[in-house]
Amino acid sequence: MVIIRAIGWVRERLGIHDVAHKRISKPQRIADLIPELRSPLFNNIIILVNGRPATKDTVVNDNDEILLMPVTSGG
Amino acid sequence: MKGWWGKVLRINLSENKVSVQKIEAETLVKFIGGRGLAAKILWDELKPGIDPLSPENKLIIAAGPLTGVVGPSTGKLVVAAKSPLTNGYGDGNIGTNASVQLRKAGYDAIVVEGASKKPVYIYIEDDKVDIISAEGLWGRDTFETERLLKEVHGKDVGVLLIGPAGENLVRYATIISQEGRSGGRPGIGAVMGSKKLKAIVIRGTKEIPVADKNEVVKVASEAYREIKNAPAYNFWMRQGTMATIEWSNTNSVLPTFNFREGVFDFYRLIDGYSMEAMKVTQRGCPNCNMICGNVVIDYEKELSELDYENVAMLGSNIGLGHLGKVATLNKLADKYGIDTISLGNVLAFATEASEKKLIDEKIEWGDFKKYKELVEDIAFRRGLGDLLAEGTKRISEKIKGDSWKWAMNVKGLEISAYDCHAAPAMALAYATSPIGAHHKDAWVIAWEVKVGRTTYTKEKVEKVIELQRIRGGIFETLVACRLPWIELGLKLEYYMRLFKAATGIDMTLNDYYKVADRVYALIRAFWVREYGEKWSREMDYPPARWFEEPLTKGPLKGAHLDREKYDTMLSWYYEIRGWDERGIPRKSTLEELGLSDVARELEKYVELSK
Repeated sequence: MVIIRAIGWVRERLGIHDVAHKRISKPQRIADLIPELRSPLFNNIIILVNGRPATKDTVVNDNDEILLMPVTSGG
Repeated sequence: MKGWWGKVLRINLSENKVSVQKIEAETLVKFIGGRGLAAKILWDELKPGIDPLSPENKLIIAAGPLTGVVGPSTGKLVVAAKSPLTNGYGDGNIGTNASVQLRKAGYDAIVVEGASKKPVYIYIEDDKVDIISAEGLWGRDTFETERLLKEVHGKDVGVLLIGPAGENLVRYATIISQEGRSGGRPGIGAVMGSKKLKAIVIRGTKEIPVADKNEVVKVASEAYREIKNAPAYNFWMRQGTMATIEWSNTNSVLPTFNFREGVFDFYRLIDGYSMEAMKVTQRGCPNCNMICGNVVIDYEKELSELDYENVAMLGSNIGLGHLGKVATLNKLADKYGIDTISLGNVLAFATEASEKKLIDEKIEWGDFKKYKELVEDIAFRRGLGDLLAEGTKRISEKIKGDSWKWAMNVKGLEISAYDCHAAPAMALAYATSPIGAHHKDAWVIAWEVKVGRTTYTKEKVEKVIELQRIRGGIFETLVACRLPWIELGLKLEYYMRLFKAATGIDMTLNDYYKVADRVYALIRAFWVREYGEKWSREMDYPPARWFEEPLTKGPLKGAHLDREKYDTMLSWYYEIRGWDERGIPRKSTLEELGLSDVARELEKYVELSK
């Protein structure tokens, strides 16, 4: 099971609640696991896997945690 | 020349004199406006070593060539002076109708000199300038004062004013406009108070001169459209910067308990969704189509305009997990004219000092009632408030112990709302910001999260400088808001196109970077001239807490900055900027930037490296 967490507008655009889970049978690219991310809407977002920087092409394994976040500036 | 009026309005309050001074075209092209123009005037005209709260200091209100011109978020101006908080260069920007009125009145900047013996306010209507008694306004809060001034002068005037904090010379008093627009963190409101100047009221009726009006409208329309089509637009309109509470907590950078931690157990109670539930209306700056001032009903059933910085600093950083109460503290700060970032730092610092028995007063984390009393005591300099009005650096020097380690400031200016235990680039950005610790110039944390938190690389240093050039250089001199670019991805080329349409001058991004470097070098020269031989690279260090006290909770538990690696980054920073190992611009750098006169003056105070 891969855990997917997203925050801010990225969460709302993906239609995820706080956390989503996806079952995978073999290692998968993030963009294949979450096809919505291929949209240009998500060109400039932050992706972390298990707290480490990642991209849409990063391959995830069972039990990995993906975190998807917008780039913000905080004022 | 188009784009600028080429005029500075000078008002001497000691002599009750008003004059208009021409600004040379060469100066405008070299320094553009806003921060650039303010820094140039302060460098040229202030005698080093003056007391910032004496009549010798000057208050600068400066617009840029885009101010008031139609275009995304161009309704801003810069306020600047020698800072009573840091004794160095200080400035801040405010989104206000006063910026548009200033330009329509026919000026690029106002310089207020001297000091009045009695409270006054200035009324400007195009070429007519009156200095009017403010005896009946002195002591009143900023909300009430602005309402009264608008009753007299009309609802459409622009107003910049101070509250009791500015009058009582609180060292982090700000200038306020439109009931919650605040700017000038390094005590620019106190400088205004020291001149017994309660308010500046402006009405302008002229047309701002631009080189190509049709092109301005065309570029602005495209840019506004691009902003509205951004993927984050609708969410932004709902939460604005308040979405950052959740973001910061997720990334362990939400300042909590005086920057001891980066996560707050009750962050959900003060986040953007909680704000949405309390929101009654939205306010914004002139010319903005992505307004971000979220107005809520506070704990006392009054209106309060919230954004991320004030909620983080008056919420998690003082352990207060109740948004209505946070909103009340924020409203009081705006009414009294106190900077919410420094205030949140000072309250947290006082709480920790109480906990460690360095002060007698009993203050507990999250004690709303006590904090509310303290905010009032600070504004009126009563009891402990008199000491707290001095800012964390001076309080620490007074109460001693090891408090200097957790007095969260750089050069005396308190840190904005991002914890840096695990963010070396963000720490560097704070430490090298030209006014002391402030996020305005290089909010690099999002990029740093993207590339990795634990590394200390030259790439990070280059990014800090790139952001300082854009945020602290381009946006602060034009003067325009950075949020359409950083939050919604508006391309920088729009600003270059608008600049060309307004001024007729074709500048590339690289040309503009050179302007930014010039302004940064000039401001650094200002600091060095003030501090002389006392200046050292230690001035560009973040607080000891981030090096010595690891985070005790959250996903980055155990993280802290590495002093040696930070120091290496600082050396890279100086090298790229062409500054020496003390952080002083080299003579050759100043000459290359067209600042030979600055080099000659600076050499009187310190030896310059070649």
